[in-house]
Amino acid sequence: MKRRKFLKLAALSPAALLAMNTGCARTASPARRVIVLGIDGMDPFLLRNFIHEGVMPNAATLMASAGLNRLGTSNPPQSPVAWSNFITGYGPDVHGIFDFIHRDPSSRMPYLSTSRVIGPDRIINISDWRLPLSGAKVELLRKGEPFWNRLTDEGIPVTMVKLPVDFPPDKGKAKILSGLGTPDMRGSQGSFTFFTDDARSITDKTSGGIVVPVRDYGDSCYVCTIKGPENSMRAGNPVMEVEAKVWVDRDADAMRIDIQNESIVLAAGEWSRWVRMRFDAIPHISSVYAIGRFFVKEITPRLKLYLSPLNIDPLNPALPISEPQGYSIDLARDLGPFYTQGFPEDTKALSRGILSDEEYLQQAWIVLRERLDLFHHELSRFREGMLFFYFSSLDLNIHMFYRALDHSSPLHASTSPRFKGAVRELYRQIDNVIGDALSARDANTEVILLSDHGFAPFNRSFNLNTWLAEEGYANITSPSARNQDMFAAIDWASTAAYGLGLNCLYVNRTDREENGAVPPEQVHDLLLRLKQELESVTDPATGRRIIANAYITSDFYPGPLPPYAPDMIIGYARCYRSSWETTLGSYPEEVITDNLDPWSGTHCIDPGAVPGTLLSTVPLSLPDPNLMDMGKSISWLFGVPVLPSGGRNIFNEANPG
Amino acid sequence: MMNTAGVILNGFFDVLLLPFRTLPHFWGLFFISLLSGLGMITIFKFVSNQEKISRLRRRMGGCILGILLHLSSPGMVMEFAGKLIWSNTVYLAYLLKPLLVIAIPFMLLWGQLDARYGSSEMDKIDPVTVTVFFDDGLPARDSFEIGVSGLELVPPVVFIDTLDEASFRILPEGDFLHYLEIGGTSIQVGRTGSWNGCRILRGFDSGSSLKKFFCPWIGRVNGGPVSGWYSLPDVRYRVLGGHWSWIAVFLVFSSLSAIAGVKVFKVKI
Repeated sequence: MKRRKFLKLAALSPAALLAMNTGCARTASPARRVIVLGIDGMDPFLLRNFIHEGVMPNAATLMASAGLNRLGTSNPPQSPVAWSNFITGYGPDVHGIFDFIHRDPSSRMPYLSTSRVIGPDRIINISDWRLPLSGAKVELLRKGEPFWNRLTDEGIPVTMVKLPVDFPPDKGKAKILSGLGTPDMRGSQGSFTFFTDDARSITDKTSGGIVVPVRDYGDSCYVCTIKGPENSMRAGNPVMEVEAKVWVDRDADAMRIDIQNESIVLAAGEWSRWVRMRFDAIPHISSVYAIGRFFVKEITPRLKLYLSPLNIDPLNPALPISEPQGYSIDLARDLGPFYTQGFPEDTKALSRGILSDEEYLQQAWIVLRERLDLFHHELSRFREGMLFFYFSSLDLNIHMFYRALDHSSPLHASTSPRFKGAVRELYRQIDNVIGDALSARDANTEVILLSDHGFAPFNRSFNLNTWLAEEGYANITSPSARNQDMFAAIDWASTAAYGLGLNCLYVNRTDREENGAVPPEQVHDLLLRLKQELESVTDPATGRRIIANAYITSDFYPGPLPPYAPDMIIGYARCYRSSWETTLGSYPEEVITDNLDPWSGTHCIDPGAVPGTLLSTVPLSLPDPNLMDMGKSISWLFGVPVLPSGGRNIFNEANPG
Repeated sequence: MMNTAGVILNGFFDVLLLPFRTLPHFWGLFFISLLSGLGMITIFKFVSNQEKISRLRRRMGGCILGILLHLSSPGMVMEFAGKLIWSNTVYLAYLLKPLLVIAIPFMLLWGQLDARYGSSEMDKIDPVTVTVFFDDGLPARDSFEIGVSGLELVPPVVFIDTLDEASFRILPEGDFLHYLEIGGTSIQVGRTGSWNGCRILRGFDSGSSLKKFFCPWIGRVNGGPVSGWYSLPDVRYRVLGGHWSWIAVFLVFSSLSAIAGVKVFKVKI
């Protein structure tokens, strides 16, 4: 190339680039952004009240765009079912989630409906060591295609933070941090540890956690053994343990916890920061990490030390909690450790009396603060596409403090009125979140707030299995085992139906269950009879109906159903719900009892009584939006050529996709 | 005198490791490990008598060959085996000198890497627990006074009579040097990690200064009977799906580079 020509080209190139750049800026459409706030359990009636009280000015602003809409929920209106409806655009007949708990049709053994762990295919046994040749897998049991696949296929970035019913996260192009359904390190949905030398607190029957007796032998030291996950590399899967030494200073009413080369000083009434623990499967070679928070409930006169459920460490995740895997690691690096389990608020510790109302609420605020930090972090770097962010705080805390709102609750008189203020404060915090989302809005950004269901009081417990037994549908042959789980009290050969889970009733079919009693040809007649009788059951204390609707599943969902689907979905009336005993198959003496558990609010009733909430900056063109419509409608906002197949387009009825 | 030498030594390593400051922790440690392996094998080459080692190895090979050729003659096998054992002893003697020469820099480097890559720096959000130990028993609670500079002291102070220890929490304010004062003894707390691979103090001791040469994570105490440590979590590095301590990273990668160095520089070992 000649020198003159080269110089000419060199001079022209920057100008050409500049022209191309300005040309691009003029013709390309600006990036569209949609912020979706998933507020589990936001009740439209409570929301309206708080808006009228002036607690939620930002929600009022959002409401001015498209009104305060009731969002149709799932049947049954349980969070795993409802959020699966949102994700797939279809009901349980397609995504396969009918309840928190499913059961093996043959053995009737219950299992978590959303995910399961599959052990390694091949293992080498050396003495009592078991060395896997392939990794164990966690399988997501939710079926159906997530709606955001249509967005990512078009190159639209999607970020879903604390997404429910997505553990392990869907593999794809979306960035996902899994939420509801993510277990703790013991594989449960949240199992605390409570160390104490108080004989009155030591019991083997504390569900939802472990109470560990400890003793001071005169040196002001308690040796506390923390039980972690099972060690699948040892025969018999023994539990891995970490030892903590707790040195107490009774004069200072404080303690020092020494654990794995770390020391933590805590005064009575204090929560610790996140403490990282390493559980060695094979020392120096294979280990898993967990994080937990201590709470010093009491030192004098008795030691009462609470340890939160051991969460999966987001910095060193032992199980897949994000997609890509580095996403949770990046978040933990930027923000520090955070709750990763699906149910972060320890409702079981409150129900079992391990934490008081005040202590539980302190923990709930810690959870919410962490969640707000995550939200602000993601919002600050959100440039394009869809950002979905899930908050669990309203749901779990209103489950626990509905008794403060509801004068008819059997626990209302014994609950401090200031907890009603706590519910208001929680809504106020969510309003701040709405405000932040609206502040981030520009001409190309839409904000949508949705909840999966509303709330209702849970004042009376209905023992479905006891009712079935009293009406002759179940035969109790071992009365002494009535209070044992898993139907220990009954004779299967003479039992026609049984309840398991929160809203599910099953017929004991000869062609499905082991020792079944009802031939297939009699099933529909039996269900019709059960429906009629259940819908006429009344509460002797009030004369009110207990069950608003008993839905025969095959009539409600007419398509093919999976074999584990319930035969009937019980839609309880407001104020009623199945008892905790029903959920695991026991037969208490009384059919209906007062609910004396702090878990005093519910949504596991008839779906018509607990609609969700929808607020949006985009006006609606359909009057009856449903959770199943949201995926298609959000996708339409991005103008993708092929919309997801499930649901309707509530923003533009004329474009059903 | 020893303190000045310690300061010079730490300063020397600060300068030596300067090129790695811009790298993330793992990569800094990784390259230091590789260079350390190469450096040590180079020192070995020049300090050891390569010709004698080479000759000895040939002799040992000859002995092994002799054993294999005379398997039917037990006397000859015994003779060659005896020579082999003797050659091995001589071989160990040849190795002694280079290993002794390498040992001192190796131990100094080990201590410096432990101080720089072994634990996390102080957090500016969550308080750090400080534990102090008293040789002469715990002082009375009301006479135990803590002064701070550039730090926030978070009460309470926990007294553990059984161990003669007291623990409390501090929260650093800013990145600069901080000081504690306990019973008139001034204690340097250190930085909160102003660059990658900086020296992180994990304890303090009024004892021998020589110890601080090899454990530079021990801070200086200007007199007084106090020693103690800060509770700082160990750092683990994510390598090949595992969680490796800095020791594992250093040993594995320095060994690999040393093996490579043996091949490349044709070192006889």
